[in-house]
Amino acid sequence: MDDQQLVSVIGRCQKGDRAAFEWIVNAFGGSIFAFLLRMVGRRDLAEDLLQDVFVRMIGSIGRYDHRDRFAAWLFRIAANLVRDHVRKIRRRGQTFSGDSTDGDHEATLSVLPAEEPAAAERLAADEDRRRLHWALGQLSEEYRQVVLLRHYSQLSFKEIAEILGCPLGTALARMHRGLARLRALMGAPQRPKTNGPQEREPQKTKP
Amino acid sequence: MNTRTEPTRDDLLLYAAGELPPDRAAAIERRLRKEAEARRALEQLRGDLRRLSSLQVEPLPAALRRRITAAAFRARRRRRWAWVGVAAAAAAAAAAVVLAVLLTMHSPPAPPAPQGPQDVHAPDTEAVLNRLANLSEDVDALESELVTAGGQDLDAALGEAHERLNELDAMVGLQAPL
Repeated sequence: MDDQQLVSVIGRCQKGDRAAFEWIVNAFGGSIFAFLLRMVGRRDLAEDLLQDVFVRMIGSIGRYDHRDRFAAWLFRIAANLVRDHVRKIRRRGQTFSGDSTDGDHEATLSVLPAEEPAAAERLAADEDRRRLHWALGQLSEEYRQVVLLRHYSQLSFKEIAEILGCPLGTALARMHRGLARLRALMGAPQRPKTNGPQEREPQKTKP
Repeated sequence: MNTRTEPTRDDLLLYAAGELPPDRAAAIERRLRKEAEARRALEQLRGDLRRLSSLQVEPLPAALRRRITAAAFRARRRRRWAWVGVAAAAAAAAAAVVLAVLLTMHSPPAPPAPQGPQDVHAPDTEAVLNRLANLSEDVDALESELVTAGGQDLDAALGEAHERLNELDAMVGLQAPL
């Protein structure tokens, strides 16, 4: 994506150009959706949050001043929406998928129902990817957020730290720990009873 | 001034991610040449980052893109009408004040006016606003219908609906911020 082209599209979108808006949705929507889906674990919820991202975007793009990279600006909106969602869930006394403790393989995913098998198959084309999805679902929210932001946004760690409002060293430490945890989980046997939403397997029924 | 001489674990991660400034990168490379343990740690980090590359990004389904666009422009329109309402109310209030002043200056000091200044306003403002609000709701309804109906001509139809609304904006001379 050419920087000048992006600046031009943003300018048109600021004037209310529908085609420019759709161009932005096409260009950034896929990666933001993937980030949201892996953060909240539910396709319908991720779609709603993605819609909110772009509703907020069109409401505030008039104030976007190109000081931050546009991708960073959009992912900041997405990360804030995830944070608000998590707070809302915790206020209701429910458990978020990221509440699993780092030293414990047991993930609590009581508010995250399974993805539909077809969707899971689309997302996990092979066993390694399926396992990676499962492992990501076991990470605590703050580790998963940094790992996913880095992967899907392609932003620098400095920009990610700014999005999260933390020092660079904190973002790097979370990335280190997140990667180490993923490595350990990828080598560990999965526990079907504690599977997260991303790796849901068909339930066994008693004969 | 950076007084560190020994590359840190964070430096190694930044180096693996290609984000380390050249002076620090050179320090890392010197260390890598000397220490097998550092080389192993770097390989491990690179392997971790490579593993993430299997997380793919899929294009958004057309129905979801349409839904997002419709919702975003609906929200934008509502904000604009809200802004128009505030502007019109302010204009009406200003007109009422001016009228009240003029009436006070030019009327005989006889019986008190039956209406307070806040009740005096341009007679057509409310009607125009109502008409605009109704039209906005009509377009919202049409848009929802089109989005749920499906079909290849949806984008064109939606675009036409928005163009008509924009024409109306221009007709009544409304310019609102996004």
